[in-house]
Parts: sequence; C-alpha cells; structure tokens
Amino acid sequence: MDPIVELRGVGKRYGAGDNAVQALQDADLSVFAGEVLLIQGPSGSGKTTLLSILGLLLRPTTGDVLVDGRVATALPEKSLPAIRARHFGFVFQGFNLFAALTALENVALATQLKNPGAKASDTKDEARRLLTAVGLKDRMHHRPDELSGGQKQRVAIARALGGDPTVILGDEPTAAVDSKTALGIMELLHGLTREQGRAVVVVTHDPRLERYADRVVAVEDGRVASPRTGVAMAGGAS
Amino acid sequence: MWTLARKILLHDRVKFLVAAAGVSVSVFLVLVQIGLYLGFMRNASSIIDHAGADLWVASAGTENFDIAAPLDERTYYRVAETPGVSRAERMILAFGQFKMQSGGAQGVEVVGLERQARLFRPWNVVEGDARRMSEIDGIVVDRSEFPKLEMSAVGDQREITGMRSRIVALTQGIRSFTTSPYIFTNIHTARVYTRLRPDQITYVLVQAAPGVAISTLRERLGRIPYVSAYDTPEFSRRARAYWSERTGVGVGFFMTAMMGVIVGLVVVGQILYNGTLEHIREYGTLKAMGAENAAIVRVILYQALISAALGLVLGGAMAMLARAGLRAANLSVVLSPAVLISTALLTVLMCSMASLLSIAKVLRLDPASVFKG
Repeated sequence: MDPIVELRGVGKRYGAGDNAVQALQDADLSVFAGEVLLIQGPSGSGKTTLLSILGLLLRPTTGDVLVDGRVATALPEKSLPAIRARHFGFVFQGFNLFAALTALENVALATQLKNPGAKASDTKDEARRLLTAVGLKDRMHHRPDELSGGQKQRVAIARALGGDPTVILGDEPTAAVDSKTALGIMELLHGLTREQGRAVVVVTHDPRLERYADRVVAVEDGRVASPRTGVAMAGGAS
Repeated sequence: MWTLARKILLHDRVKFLVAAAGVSVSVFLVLVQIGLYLGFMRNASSIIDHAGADLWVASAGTENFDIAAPLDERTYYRVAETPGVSRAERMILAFGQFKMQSGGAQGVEVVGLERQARLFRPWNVVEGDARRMSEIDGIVVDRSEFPKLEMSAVGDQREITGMRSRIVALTQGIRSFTTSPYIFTNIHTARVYTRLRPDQITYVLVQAAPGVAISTLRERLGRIPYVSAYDTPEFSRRARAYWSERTGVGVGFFMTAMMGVIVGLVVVGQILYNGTLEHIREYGTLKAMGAENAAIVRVILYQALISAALGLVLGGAMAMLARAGLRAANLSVVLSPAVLISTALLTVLMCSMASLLSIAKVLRLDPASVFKG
C-alpha cells in the first residue's frame, strides 16, 4: 500500500550560526490510510516539529514531504493551503474553537473554508452530519463555553473532518480532558480509521493511548526511531 | 466570513459598544466641524452667491468682502460705459453702529442697494415688503438676529449711527460670517449709516451683455485704474478663502475634525487589534486548515466595516441633534448629501486603516504556531 504522506530524509533547523537548533534530523516516516500512528517522546524532542512538517504547516530545512506521491515541499507557499484543506484535518490540545460561534457554526465555518464554492445550506447540512457522527446531535447550538472539555474536543474533531480530509493530525488532543474522556476521544479517532479509512496521527505523552495505535513512533533529540507495531495492530483495540 | 465577523464583534458587547462609541464620536466631530465650517463659509459668501451679477468690481486688491475699501462713484460710470456691460449697479457694504434699546451698541454690516436694483435683492423675505427699504429709514433684517438687535417685529424703530431706522421686512437665514447682523437698506441711507461720503460706494455689480464672454469683459474692466474685477465664482471663493485661510479658521476646524478621525482610528484600531490577539489561535487554526489569508483578512475588514456602519448611524444621529441645537444658537451646520457621503467614505477608510495592524498580524501569523502551547 502506498503511503498518503511520506517524509524522506527530513531535517529542520531553527536559527543560524552558533544559536542554531537542529529540531529534527534525517527523519523518514510514512503514514498509511486506515491507521492510527502515535508519536511519542519527551518535551522538546521534536514531536511537534514533526507533526507540523507532516501537515505542511512548516517547511523542512532538508528532505521532502510527499502527499499522495507528489513532492509537496517543491510547491510554492501559496499552493500549500489548498493541499492542507484537501488532505488534512487538525485537532489541538486547546480545542481552538471560536467562542462566539455555536458548535454547528464552528464546524460549518471550517467546512465552508475548505469548500468555498459550496452553498451555505449545504455546509450547514454537512456540519450537522459531522456533529451527529461525533455524538453531539443535541449540542449543536451550544457555544464552546457551554460544552465540557470532551464535547469541545468532539466539536474540534468534527471540524477537522470538514472537507473530508484523508489525514487527521492531533497535537495532544487528550491532554486537556480527564482520562475517561481521553479514552473516549481516542475511541472516536480510532473509529475514523477503521470505519472511514482515514489516517490519524497523534502526538501524545500518554502511554495509555498506545492501545489505540497501529504503530508507535518515538522521537528523541530530533531523531525519529523506526515505528514499532502498536497494541491496536496486535489486536488490543477494536 | 460575514457571520463570523459579526458574531466575534457581538460576542463581547462591551468592547463592541466602545468601538461603536469611538466611531460615533469621530463621525460626530467630523460632521459637526465640517458642517459648521461649511455653514460659516456659506455665510461668508452668501451675498455674492445670491446675487445675479456676472462680475464684481471692487477697490484694487480687495481681499475681504466684508471690509473693502470704498470706490469713487466715478468708477461706477466708467464701469457702466465699458463695452459689453449690459447693466451695472452700485452697492455699499460697510459697518455701522446699531443703537440697542438697552443702551449699548452693536456693530452691523450695512448693505446699501439701488432703489431699482435687479442684480441683488435680499432673499428669503418672510414678512413685510422688502421694496419699502427704498424709504428713507426702511431697513430689512434677518429674523434670527432679533435677539442680538433687541427687536421683535416689523415696524420696530432704532437708530443706526445716529439716524433713525425702521424694520420694513424680515428675511430668514441670512447671516454674515462676522456675526454682525446684515442691515439691508437703500444706498443713500446706507451712506449715512456707514459715514461714507455721498460719492463713495463699495462695489459695482455687473451683468454682461448677451454674447459677451465674461472673461473678456473682466479683462476690460480690469483696465480701469485702481479697481479689480472678479467673476462671481472667483469673488465668492476669495470671500471664503480670506476667512478660511488668512484667519486660520479653516485650519482650526480641520484640526478638530482630524482629532475626531484620530480618536476613531485609535479606538477602533485598538479594539480590533485586541480582538485579533484574543482570537489569534482560532485564526491560526483556520490558516492551518487551509484558509487563505484573504478569507481571514475579510473577517477583520468586515468587523471594521460593521463598527463603521454603526458609528455612522449613531454619530450621524448625534450630529443631526447637534445641528438642531446649534440652529437655536444662530449657528448653521451644513449637512449636505455630499458632506454625509464624504464622511461615510472617510469613516470606512478610517476603520479600514484601523484594521491594518490586525491584518498585518494575521498575515504574519505562522499556521504552525497553533501547535505551540
């Protein structure tokens, strides 16, 4: 199976001269459809840099990023937003929802941004469908401050699914919720891989989430270790 | 994007109201200052603008319409016999002393007209018969000057520079820039009121004969010694320019109007920038998800435009109320469609400029920053 996203010899250096920091070096990584890939490592190890490069939010200093077999790093900066919109959805530790908008409006906004030509009524329908799929049918018209942490993250996942991306990238998506809710969120993300064939890449410190991972990648001092098989792949989560 | 902009603004109502108040004060100051300025300027040239003359002949180098050096009456005859002149009329415009009933004196601008004057007559006559100002003591005054002149009705009598005067007609809305009331009367009485000699006048109003180019006639009249000839638009412009530019009045009004714009710029800019900082992670998220910069810039611009629209409505309403109040104080605030449209455009420009810092912030925003912290 061909990878959806692939890193080849990717390195990232911040700054220059004596102050330069090599955040990532010579990283090779492939992300496949239908898998949950966990990225683990201590703080400052380069996990977030790796995730940002995977999501085309950051250009590597060396190496290439391939999306659907095409070298995205060779493309001009202005063409990257469209590729991100088509291929990636993002979920964040702090949810990053617009406080002034209801759950439905937050999701519809992202859907509209990813499909600028779509009719407003169609994007609303799509947002309703996504919120229903993440179990928030009854909370659509609530604003973020009226939702629990888990519900907010579900809204964020529904928003990430707007535009039907092939890869969901999560940066510590369970860090701001309690452990029971965290497992519920991972169940949801795991389900996306199994039921919809999407790839889910999650950066986390939490070892309990390994049960949902098909593969686990360790990052330390900017070096990406070879992925090992996760518990899910071994039949731990279903 | 429009909905997002509106909801972000309305989400924090206090900040939105502060922004709207800032724009309102700005709009109010700009409208009232420009309106007052235009009102004063309209007064400064109202007599010229309401005259039917093609050309005005004045003492050479006359800069101030209200305070012009007198002309020798022989000039009038030289003007009248100049080829191309269809009609010439004498006018006196000089100051006199109006004796108040309470004992004091009030400076007045006496306008003396020929008995058969056709090129200029008092306009907006609302009571009495203006033709009766040809009577020896007949004067026409503006109703709005009654409090200043301590008069109350047609028929009231007073003294001007020692000679009796009697109101024979009233006008409505004729005021001078100098705030000294205009007193219209016949040219002979005007000479007494202003202590001019019997052979002195102030202006000659000229009507060009059909087919004669005004510029040509102006050139001919300009050859008469010791006089200057102006076409009406230029003379009107000079009358306004004197007060506006030579006295600093225009700069004063302009500076106050600009203060209003600066207040609006700072208040709206600060509110928008704070709002942008508060939502910077959300904007970053949109960029990460693939939103183009243009889409996010639109959200900020829409917020600026919503603030501008509300500020225009509130500030415009405040200016209308102020106009009504100032009218009672004998001050006219000109809020013409051109002034309103110009102020609306200025407000939109001001609010758009106020959003530039916010726009620069989101344009520089690195989408990868959403993963930090």
